[in-house]
Amino acid sequence: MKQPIFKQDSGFTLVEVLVAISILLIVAAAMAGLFTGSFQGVVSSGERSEALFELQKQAEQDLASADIGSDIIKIEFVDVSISGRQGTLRRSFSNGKEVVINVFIPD
Amino acid sequence: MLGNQKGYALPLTLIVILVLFILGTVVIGVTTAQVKESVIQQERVQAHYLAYYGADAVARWIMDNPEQIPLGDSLPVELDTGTFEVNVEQVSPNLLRITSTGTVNGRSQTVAVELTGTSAGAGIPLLDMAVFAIGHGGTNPAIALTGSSQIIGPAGTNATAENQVSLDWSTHIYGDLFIGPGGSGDVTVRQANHQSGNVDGSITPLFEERVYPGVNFPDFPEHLPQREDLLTPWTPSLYYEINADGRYDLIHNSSSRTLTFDLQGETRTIRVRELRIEGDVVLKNVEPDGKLLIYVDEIFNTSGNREINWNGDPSRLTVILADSVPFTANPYAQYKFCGNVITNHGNVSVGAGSSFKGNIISANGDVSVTGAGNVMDLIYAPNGHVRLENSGDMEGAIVANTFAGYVDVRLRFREPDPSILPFDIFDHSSGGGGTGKLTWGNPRWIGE
Repeated sequence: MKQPIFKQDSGFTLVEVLVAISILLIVAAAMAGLFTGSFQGVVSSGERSEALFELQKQAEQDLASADIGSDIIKIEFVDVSISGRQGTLRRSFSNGKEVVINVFIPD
Repeated sequence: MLGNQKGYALPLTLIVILVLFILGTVVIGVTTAQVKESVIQQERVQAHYLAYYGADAVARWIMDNPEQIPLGDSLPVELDTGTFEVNVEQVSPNLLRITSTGTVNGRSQTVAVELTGTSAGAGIPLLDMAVFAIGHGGTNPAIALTGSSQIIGPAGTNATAENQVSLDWSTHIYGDLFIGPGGSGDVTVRQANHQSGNVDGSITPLFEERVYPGVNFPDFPEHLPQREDLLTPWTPSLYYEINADGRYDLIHNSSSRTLTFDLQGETRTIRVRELRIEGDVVLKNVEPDGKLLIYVDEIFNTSGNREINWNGDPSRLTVILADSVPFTANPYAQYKFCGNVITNHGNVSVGAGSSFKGNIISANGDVSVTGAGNVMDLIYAPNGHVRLENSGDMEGAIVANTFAGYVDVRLRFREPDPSILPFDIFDHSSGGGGTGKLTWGNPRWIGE
């Protein structure tokens, strides 16, 4: 009759330890990657929020600093057409990412 | 199991892995949600500013171009991060709402701004309703309809007191009804027809009271050459003509004689103490700038089935009646008058099948249109009571202190043209007035 594996008194311990360590290392490595990625995500989203906040301030108080596009854009109603251009406010944060706000600036 | 000296490392490892896995899942879930939320937040902000500056641009445009309001929806406007659409709605005659929706990656944000209209400044007052009753006190309701009378078009009043708009069972307003600021439709408007109501459109309080200017009653000319009385006895030619300015004691075209005014293409000014019109009146040589101004000091009398400039242009003839001299288009015959009438304290009466084409302006008098009389264009009596009665019919606009439509009248809105008056009769120092169109300003942002 086969003995249950955890009831055996002999063998396995060294192998078991080696296997356990290997598994633990593999899992820990994978988890570390995930944790690092998550941490970077949290930091990045914090920086994104900060960049967004600065851009909002700029949009409210300093729209003149926006990059004005060259193409004419129109708000077209049935009888009326309002011409303007695209204004772009941008701010970089971690790893070359950037937040952009576009606005319509009438001519 | 932990008491066992052998073989516990693997299960312990599995438990640690399990714990790590659960912890990792939670941490990853939380951080992923946070990162996602920050991206969503970014898109919301982007959408908000698309919407905000879209609405702002349209609001500024309307403030700069008050005569060209772009009502309705715009086409979607595409920028790099997303799109926005703007809707302009006229909530009331004095209130515009501009709603703008920005969309970024399917996430939408809406902002709205309201502009209020004012009609300050020189020019022509706002004439955008079939009837506007100022409703300054008095015993009459501001607007009363009885029988099966109808107003076809918008109507309004500054009044807010109880039953100031009184509508009998079979009467109807086919249009929106505006009441004074802060008023309640349930209190101010008495609708006898409780089942289906007497007002087709909405009942809305005005954003602010409307102020209509008084009438700047003109001074009578003093330095005209005195002329002999003009009477029209029988002659073979039956032709009588006035071809020069002058002051008369009496002009009386009796016995159905036609009286012709030769304008010679310029303004002809006649001042007369007593004017009796018993025949037709014709204007000739009106081009290019012919206008006939008749100032009546004491008596204005008409009779018979007569035509006064009837096939002409109403801008060419204006009769101005001093003090309390009334204007009466014969109540017993089909009198036809094409021109403008300006009275001071005198009442104006158009009746019994008579027709009137032009503007009726009364500084302080009342106006009545009775029988099957009909009037086109404008009745402006800001201090008076205007009464349409017994099949009286009108197409145009009325501004009065109070208005009543009795028995079976039709008042159909058509924008009048007060610019055909020979001079600016609106007293802008009394307040109100405007450019004919409102100017828009005082933007008020609304979060949605």
